[in-house]
Amino acid sequence: MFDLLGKIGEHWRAVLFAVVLHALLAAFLIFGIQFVHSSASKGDRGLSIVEASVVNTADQPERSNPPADQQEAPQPKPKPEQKPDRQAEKKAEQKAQAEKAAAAAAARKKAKQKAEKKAAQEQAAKQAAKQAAQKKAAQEKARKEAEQKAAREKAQKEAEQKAAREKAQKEAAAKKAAEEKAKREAAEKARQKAAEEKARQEAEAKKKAAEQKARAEAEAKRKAEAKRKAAEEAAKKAAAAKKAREAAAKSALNKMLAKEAAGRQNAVNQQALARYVQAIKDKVEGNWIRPPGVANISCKVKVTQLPGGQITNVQLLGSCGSPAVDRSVVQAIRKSDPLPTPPSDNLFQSEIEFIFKPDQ
Amino acid sequence: MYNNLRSFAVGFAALCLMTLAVSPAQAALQVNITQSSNSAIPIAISPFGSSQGQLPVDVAQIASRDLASTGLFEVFPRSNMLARPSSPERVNYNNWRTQNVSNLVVGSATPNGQGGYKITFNLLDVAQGRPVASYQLNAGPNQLRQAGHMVANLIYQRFIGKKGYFLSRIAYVTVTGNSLENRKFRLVVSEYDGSHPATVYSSQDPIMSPSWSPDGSKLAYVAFNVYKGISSIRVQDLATGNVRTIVSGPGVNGAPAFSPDGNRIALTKSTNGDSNIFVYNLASGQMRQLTHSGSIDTAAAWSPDGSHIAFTSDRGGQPQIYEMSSQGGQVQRLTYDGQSNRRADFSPDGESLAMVQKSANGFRIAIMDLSNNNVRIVSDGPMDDSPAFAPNGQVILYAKQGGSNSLATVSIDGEAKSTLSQAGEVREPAWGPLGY
Repeated sequence: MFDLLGKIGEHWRAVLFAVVLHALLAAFLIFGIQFVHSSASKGDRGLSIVEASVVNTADQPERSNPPADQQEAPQPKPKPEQKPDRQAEKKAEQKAQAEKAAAAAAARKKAKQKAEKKAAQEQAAKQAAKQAAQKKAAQEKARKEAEQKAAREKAQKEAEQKAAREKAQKEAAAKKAAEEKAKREAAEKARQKAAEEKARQEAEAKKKAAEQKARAEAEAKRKAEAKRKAAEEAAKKAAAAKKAREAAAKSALNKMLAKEAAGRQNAVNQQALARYVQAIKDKVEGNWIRPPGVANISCKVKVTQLPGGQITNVQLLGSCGSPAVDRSVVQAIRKSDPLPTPPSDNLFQSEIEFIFKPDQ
Repeated sequence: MYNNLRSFAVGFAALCLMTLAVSPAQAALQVNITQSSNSAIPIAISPFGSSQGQLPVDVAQIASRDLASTGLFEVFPRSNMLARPSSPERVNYNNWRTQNVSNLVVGSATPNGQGGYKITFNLLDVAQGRPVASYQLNAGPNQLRQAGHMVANLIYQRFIGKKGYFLSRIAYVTVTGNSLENRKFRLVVSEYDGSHPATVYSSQDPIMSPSWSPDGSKLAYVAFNVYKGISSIRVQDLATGNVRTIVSGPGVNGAPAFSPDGNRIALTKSTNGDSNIFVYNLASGQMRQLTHSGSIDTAAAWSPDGSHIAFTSDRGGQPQIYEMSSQGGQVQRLTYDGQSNRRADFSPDGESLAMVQKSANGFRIAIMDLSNNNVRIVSDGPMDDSPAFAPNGQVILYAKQGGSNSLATVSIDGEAKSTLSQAGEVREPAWGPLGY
């Protein structure tokens, strides 16, 4: 219903046109009938009027509800169909009434009139019927035409509507499409941009990653190289150490054996050396008369000797503190000539370093 | 390259090890000398020869005594000499070696044509068998004795490293006589060892506190006049005998001390019962008071550079050594050891101070190192007094009192002690300059 109204609203021109057409048709029919009535019989005026009024009254309720201007056009369709049924009923009633009237007239002795009237009436009826048929046909025709027209119009309208709808749809679709397109484009653009950015970033990241990777690889390579080198070095060292160990073990074994033998000799030698050094020390200290009142005496004296202990050279390595002390030191050594000889020749050392440090 | 170096290093190390293994005797033997002999330096001084027979003065004997007096030399007795050579060429070193004489001095004197002698002597190292030093000196007609001291000075300096003090003189006061009537005080000047004493002033009244002028030409000392009840500080010229009294009067006029430049004398003077240090200017005759305490300030001693004066003061209760500027002021206490300390004397190098320290062991000579205030007792006591440094700083001369009054010396390390034989009671020695 609201669709219909909406459609009517949308296509008010067509509706107006249809209403006007119907009105013209109705006017034609009415005036045509009246013309026939007026020309054919005046007595039917009341009937016509009744009919017309009935038609009108019958029409009224139908029209009451919908808004006047817009309801008219679609209404004509059922009107022509309902009319004949009611008219038939009315005709029967009217016939009965006419028969009653004829009977009453006959009763009042107007049989001739009655017949005449009846014939006229019949004729009128016939005419009326004919007219009605005609009218009906016309109405039918008109109805059909109207229907057709309406159908056409409707079709047209529908087509138009459809077209409009389609158009609108199309437009909407187009708009939508355009919008979507724009959106898509924008989105696409954005996507593209994002993609570009992303691509750029990715490229950068990739580049960075590549660089890092390259660096890491280089580092790893370097490390690996260093590791390899270290490993080689370590292996070399280990080999050398192993070799050394083996050699050491070997020589240690030999040494152990030698040591076993030499150990005692060595101990004897060490003791002898210590005794030898002590003997030299004792002799020099016994001959050293330190000048009084000189503190912090400290000096070294290099002495060379012959195997018999005869001193061949005394060399003061720097002053002991004063000339008198220097002389005392040299004299102490000179006075110790010959120096004690070592208990065995292998302990002899031709060079002796005396360290004078009595004030520690 | 690296490997090459390394292998080279390894090879070198191996070579070193091999060398060591093969000939361990090549390394120098190391001998640490940490002790010295406590013995004195053995030396023999053979009698000096002379083309004219025997010399009027036994120079060798004088030098031998000088060296022996120090305690630092062991002088070989002449009587034990197998030979008495007077020149190096005639020395049989083996003789001296067998007698453990390490050092031999041989010399001779020949007249120099002016009544004096030209003396030549050599120091021989017996161990090495050769002369190590040669000396020459001239002696005037009556100076052979001094020549002997000079020989000792030169030998001393060679071995000890300091100048000998055998030409220096000392001054001291002797007291003789038991009764007041025949009691005699003498101011005596002698050689460093107390020999050849000469009285330069004598009195029945007390004589005190002799002090040498730096050049050794004068003595300042205190003389009393008991009858008049006064004391005087006198400066006496030793050569001429001239006396100049610089301060005189009642009360205390004492403890004179020549300044190092010889132009001033620090002294003690009492005013109103208080004794204070004054400085008397010999050129101007002006006197200036340096201390103003209400206590006894006395016994002034100049630092060798003349910038300070040490003195004894009881301002702290017990006598202690204080020091002040020689202009006065900046007084500071120096001694805290012992019960009391008095009579300070600066060493010639100014690095230490000799003093009399009183402790439970009595009065003993102490030496304080001024660089760290360490105090070392060098004498035995119980009544030692008046320490005086020898002009070379190696010995301290002091007076032993109590049972036997005498002069004694002690080396600054406290090792070598000797007593100078003197008759009677000897007081207040003062050691003069080196004399050469």
